Formats: sequence, structure tokens, C-alpha cells
Amino acid sequence: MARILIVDDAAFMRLRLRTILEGAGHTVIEAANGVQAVDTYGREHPDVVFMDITMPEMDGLTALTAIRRSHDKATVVMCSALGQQSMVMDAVRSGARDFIVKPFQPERVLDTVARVHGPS
Amino acid sequence: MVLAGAHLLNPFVRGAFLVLESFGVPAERSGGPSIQSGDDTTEAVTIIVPIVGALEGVVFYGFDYATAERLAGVMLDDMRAVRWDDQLVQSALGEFGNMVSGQASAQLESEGIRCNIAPPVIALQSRLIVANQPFERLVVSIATSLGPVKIHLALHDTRMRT
Repeated sequence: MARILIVDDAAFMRLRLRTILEGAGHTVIEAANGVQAVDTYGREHPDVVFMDITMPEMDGLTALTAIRRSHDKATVVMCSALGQQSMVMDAVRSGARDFIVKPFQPERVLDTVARVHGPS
Repeated sequence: MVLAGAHLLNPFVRGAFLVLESFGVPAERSGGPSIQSGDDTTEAVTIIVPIVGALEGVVFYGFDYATAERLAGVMLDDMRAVRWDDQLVQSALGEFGNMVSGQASAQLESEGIRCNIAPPVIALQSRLIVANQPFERLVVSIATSLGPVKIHLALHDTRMRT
């Protein structure tokens, strides 16, 4: 099982991901923007981060870069309603391990955790 | 500026079908598009999503209260009674607009039309003034098992500016 940090400004999305991940036995912590994500990552060192892209205060791509700068092994999966190729490429260039598009399918989320962290 | 064509409704309608389907809600288009003009919202609950880029303007997703409540309930897995002062309910509806518009923007990008969506705003009132002058929009209705959903598209193609 993995310790997973969910970063999204939408309370609904955090709840939906939490429900999927905790239902599979993973432990979840949350942050509501990029600033909180960088701070929480440094304190908690989660195994996997699910990071939204469009957020206030600090967007997900900036937070990804900040986390990877100080923790180069950080495993970050980007999440967005925007399935745009340019954003996928930016995220991969910045070190994202995977990219999932909302709405989340539970199997896709759990497959992603298994692939980037290893099977439970 | 030129109001973007009716064919641009299709990515938003397909996006709505896809997102509704992901929550187990069947949907189908009911009737063809119409043109409305006004400076206000026309449904009791409206999710307003600003669009920028090759297309600029707004998309509205409109519902009556009962349909919006049922949609929020489905999205929240009926985990709670829907209350309009519940931040999670408004967050769920906002994300519906975000996800549908995101799916549409991805489809548009695959057709070479690149645009981005801004965070959604929820209007819990019909006849809410949202512009300083009337503007035209294309409107299409979707019939769902939860009730009717109206998509209003007021987008201008910035590539056609002179």
C-alpha cells in the first residue's frame, strides 16, 4: 500500500480520489494548492503525488518542478480536466511519471498507482 | 466578431455525454441548436466556464434545481443530502463544467483549435445579469435520466478577427 498526496483545489475531486484510493487500502493526505503541496511533500514524503494542474496560488506544473528540484525521486502523477497534448508534454518534461484526465475512472487511478509505485 | 459556428457545439455535447456516462447517467441530444440573446442566465443553476484562446467567450451549463441536485447527488455517490450551502455540492457542479469543457477543449485541439478553460463559476439564480449588454449564444438541450441540461455557447473565433 502507498501513502498518497492528493493535490487539487476542488474539494469534490479530492473526495473522489480519496474514496477510490482509500477503498483500495492506500493512505491519503491532501493539499488544496501548489504551495501546500510543496510544504506537505517536504514534511510527509509521500510515495506518490496526484497533482492537479490548474490551481490558485501555485499551479501544478510549478509545484511539480519545485518538488522535483528538492526531491528528484518524487513520483508525481498529473491530473487535469484538460487533456491537451501540450500540457502532457510540459508535465513529462518537468518530471511527471504519468498523466490522467478527469473524470477519473477507478481502475485507471489504481492501475497508475500500481505502475508508478508497484503493485499492492 | 463572429459567433462561432454550430459545429463547435458538438465537442461540448460529446464532452457532456462522456462525463455523464462516467457517472452512469445516460444522455441524448434533444432537438437541434437554437440561438438566444440576452445578458442573463436563464436556468435556476448555471455553471459558467470562461474560454480563452482561439475561441473566446463563455459556456453555460444550465439546470433546474431538481436536476442539479440529482447530478450533484450522483457525483457525490449519494453520500450526503444535497444542500446548496454545502461547498462540496458547488465544487462537484463546478467540476462537472470543468470536466465537460476540458473534454471539449481536448477535442477542439485535435482539430487544430487550441483554447483553454478558466475556473468555473456557479450562478444559483435565473435571470442573473452576467454581461453589460445582451449577447447571442447557441443553445442545445440534452435529455438525461436526471433531467434536462442546456448548453449555451457564446464563443467567438479570434482567428477570424480582422
